[in-house]
Amino acid sequence: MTQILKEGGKTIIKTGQRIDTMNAGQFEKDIEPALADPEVDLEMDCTELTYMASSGLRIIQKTMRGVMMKKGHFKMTNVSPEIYKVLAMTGFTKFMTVEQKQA
Amino acid sequence: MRKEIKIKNRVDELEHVAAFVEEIGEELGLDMEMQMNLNLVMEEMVSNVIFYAYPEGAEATIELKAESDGKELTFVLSDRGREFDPTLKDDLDVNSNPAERDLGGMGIYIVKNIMNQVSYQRLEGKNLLTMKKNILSKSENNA
Repeated sequence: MTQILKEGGKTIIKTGQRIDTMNAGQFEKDIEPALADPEVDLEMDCTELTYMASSGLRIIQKTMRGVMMKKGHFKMTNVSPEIYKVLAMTGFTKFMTVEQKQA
Repeated sequence: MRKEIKIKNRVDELEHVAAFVEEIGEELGLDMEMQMNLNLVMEEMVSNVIFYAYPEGAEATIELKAESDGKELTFVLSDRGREFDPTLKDDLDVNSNPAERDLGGMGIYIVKNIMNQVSYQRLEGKNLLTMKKNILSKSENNA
């Protein structure tokens, strides 16, 4: 289940275990409020995340786009090595901060 | 090893695909990363068929077959939907910022990157997508 926490001016999205074809639509709705602020400083905490399909990547892409338009900040943290590889393969890690989970 | 599954063209049926891949992974002793990658590949290609192969509301059956000799794992995905060759899609420009690229289009790119071989055939009114993965090095590591 997705959780959204506010810490000072920063918003932290804690993802659930999976972002896949079945639940991507719900995830997109869940994080919508986090993108509504005029100034966005967003962290997607992927500690729980073990699986992400391209439907999830598409939401990351849309989020990047929205944050860029507002000249905000967006990073992903605690990403598993396996998901990091998929993010690297599709060109995300070159253009945004993606921090891997500490072993 | 030889297995197959038949599912309906509905998104909730993807759960059965995930369970099918997991079963294969366990039987072949594949590691976590390989399992996740194969799950991802099958989800991408099966959901593609679910979303685009048939007119809205049309119920159809999709077949997924898996076969392995212990060295290579081959999946064949087949449907009777409209003719569509996903391998023809242009490669993603991964050197451009995702925020500035068209949305989506990443599924087939991931599939081509993960699998060793992906080929398409239109045969007797069916789309047949064959996806092969070399699994030898992984099972050797596990031995």
